[in-house]
Amino acid sequence: MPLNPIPAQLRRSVIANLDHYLVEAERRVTDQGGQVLYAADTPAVATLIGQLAQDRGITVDSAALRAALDAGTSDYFEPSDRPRQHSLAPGCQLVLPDFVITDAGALCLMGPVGPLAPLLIAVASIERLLPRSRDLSTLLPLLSSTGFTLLAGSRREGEFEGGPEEFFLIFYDAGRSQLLANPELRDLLLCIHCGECLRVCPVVARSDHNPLLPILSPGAVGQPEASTLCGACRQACPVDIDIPRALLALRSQSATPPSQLQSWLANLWSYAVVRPRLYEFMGVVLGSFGPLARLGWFPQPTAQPFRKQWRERKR
Amino acid sequence: MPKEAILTQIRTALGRKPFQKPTPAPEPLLLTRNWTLAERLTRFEAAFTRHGGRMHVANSPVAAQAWVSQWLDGREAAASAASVLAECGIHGLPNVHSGFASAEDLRNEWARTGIGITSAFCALAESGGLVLRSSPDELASPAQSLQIHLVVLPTHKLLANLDEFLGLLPRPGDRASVTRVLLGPTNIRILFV
Repeated sequence: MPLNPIPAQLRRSVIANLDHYLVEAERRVTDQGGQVLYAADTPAVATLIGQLAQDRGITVDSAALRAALDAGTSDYFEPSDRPRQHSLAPGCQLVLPDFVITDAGALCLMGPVGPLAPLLIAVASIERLLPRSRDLSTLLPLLSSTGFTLLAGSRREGEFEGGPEEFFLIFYDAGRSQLLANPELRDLLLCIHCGECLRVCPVVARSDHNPLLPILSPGAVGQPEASTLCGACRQACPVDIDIPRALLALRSQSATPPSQLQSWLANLWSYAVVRPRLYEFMGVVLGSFGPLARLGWFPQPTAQPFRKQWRERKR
Repeated sequence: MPKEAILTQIRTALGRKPFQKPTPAPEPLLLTRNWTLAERLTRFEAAFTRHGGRMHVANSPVAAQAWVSQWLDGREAAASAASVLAECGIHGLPNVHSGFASAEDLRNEWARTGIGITSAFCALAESGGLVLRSSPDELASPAQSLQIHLVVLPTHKLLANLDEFLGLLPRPGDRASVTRVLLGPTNIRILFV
């Protein structure tokens, strides 16, 4: 349990009322002169962006668009190094906000953000919502950054330099609503991408495997089986996600169900292993197949079974 | 997938109905500090210097003008239209160019002179941060294009921390399209008046 319970309570409150905050965010962004669109997944996001640009006579570099979306929405990234601002074409930019603030209808982008293009398209997954601007005081201390930018709609009349001339926000689902329906995995949507779990994970530190990828990027294909389930990530998580439990759930989801023969053998094994005499008898029976080891089907058994060696040593 | 399909899936998963009121979110604990101006200045200087910036204090607008004139030492600079710069008479200095019609003109002049003088919305004592907001007379992102950047700020705009800023301005997006909070490494000089 983290020392400060408010970040976890705040994120749980958002996820428990996600439909309300989405509708409210749309209303406020529209009030600020922006327009909100929805997409099922990242290919649908790319199609929407292509259409928006085409309608304005802008040709978007599709490779740059794919790279930007991959970097921000599906591939693994070091959270603090995640690029937030991408140029898609002259006069057209893509931004990937860290949070969408409902009461302000504003985007919060951590790190440096340069001057904004006339056509600005923001892409955010549906769970990246905060109820109020002042909730930033709860979450910002958890995110290491050299600052942040709040973008609230399009440029106001009279501003010397400000927001874009046209502003679109695309919310995408990409399996989040399915995670919501799964009580064991719903907590993954609490993640604020602070990266604390990555910093303490012994597997990430000592190997090329990253068991935390599906935690940081819900829906991404990761390696939950690479985790040692040591629990360091859970202790470090400031929003109290039970990461080991989620990893176990992901493992059981990804595991292929055993065949009938495998199930039968496993049941036989579990029956025998708690009955020492039967277990020993099975060892003798299996040991009689020793000569077959020469065929290379299985390793050569020892000359004397372990139990026999043990009894002789005790004597 | 259209909006309604996503909302229906979410509501089904959460067991919520359309237009159902949300359960209240926990209130953030805004940390208020009753620091005097001297304490705020001391704390700001410590944090701002740690980021690489430098702080100066002028006791009056006249002293500020004299300080800027001495600091420029004959070099050319371009200034934004911020009212505090006019009040201090910085726009009237012989080497300071001002009165630009567009942000592009100002940026071009900055590119030529290399020295920019602007103001900011406020400063944050605890973190040594600067808050910049788009407004009719100020740029929202001047720092990135400048090699030498001087920010002139009245002392009453030195707030204790981000919590005080968010308490005073609960919805920063209401009157400005861009609000930036700079907390990291900087080469900015700040002059409090």
